[in-house]
Amino acid sequence: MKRWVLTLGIVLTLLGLLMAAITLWLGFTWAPGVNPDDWKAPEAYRILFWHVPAAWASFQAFTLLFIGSGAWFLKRLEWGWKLHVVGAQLGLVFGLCVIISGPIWGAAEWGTPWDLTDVRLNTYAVLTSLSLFLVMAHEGQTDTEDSRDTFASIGLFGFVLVPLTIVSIRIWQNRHPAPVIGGAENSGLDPQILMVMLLGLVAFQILVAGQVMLRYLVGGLEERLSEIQSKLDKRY
Amino acid sequence: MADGTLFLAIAYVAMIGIIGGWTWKLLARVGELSERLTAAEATLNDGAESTEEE
Repeated sequence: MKRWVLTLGIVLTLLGLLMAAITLWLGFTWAPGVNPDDWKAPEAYRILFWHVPAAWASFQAFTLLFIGSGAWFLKRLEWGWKLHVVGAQLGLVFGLCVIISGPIWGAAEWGTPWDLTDVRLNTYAVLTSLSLFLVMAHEGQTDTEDSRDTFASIGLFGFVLVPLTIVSIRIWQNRHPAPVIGGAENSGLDPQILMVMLLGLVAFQILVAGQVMLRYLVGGLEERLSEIQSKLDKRY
Repeated sequence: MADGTLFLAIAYVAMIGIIGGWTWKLLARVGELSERLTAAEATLNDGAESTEEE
């Protein structure tokens, strides 16, 4: 086992979790409230301190899925397949965080958890469903070159939904709040709120990096164990 | 709770559960595989030594 990968993976994961916890604490104690006249459920806005970083973390995971799928599909690179698997799993983890917390906020603020006419909500739901499908398919299907090709092609084409999801609230904004970074005039955040959210973004990026290393390590350990077991099977 | 505090609490509990559960599962899997690998390597080496002795 590559000891340094394990150590670094654990350190980054714990650091990411610690920073995410600090973000949450600052978000509840230090970040100011919003104008109660402008919002139906003003306190619920604090969801953004993890909701937005989780969404960015999922985009990071979907990017890994895309790179891994491409590396496998075009060059048959083994690391590409491993990256595809890791990207799908982390995309599902952080995608679920977004897809669960968003509708809960929507139920408080809009009075309804979902709006089928909002493009952002729907493209993101399809993206998370895609990662769910891939994770389930990896578990349930026999690992062959053909099945890898099929899943890699889904990973490649599914990635189209990432830029579509990002630009959807700039082009077809309906229910989902406008972008808070690089959005239209007056769509920005209070500097204190922005600072806490940026801390959350850094925390989740570190968390993803640590978890990618650990998941990659698990893949390597499984492979090594399988090799030794086949040697033992041949011997006895 | 009209200000959304209850909804906020439910959302954060869900997210903490998902991220915490996944991280826990990942770390437990690393530990389990490391133990199994150490045992398997020991068995492989023992077998190799006894073959040499014969």
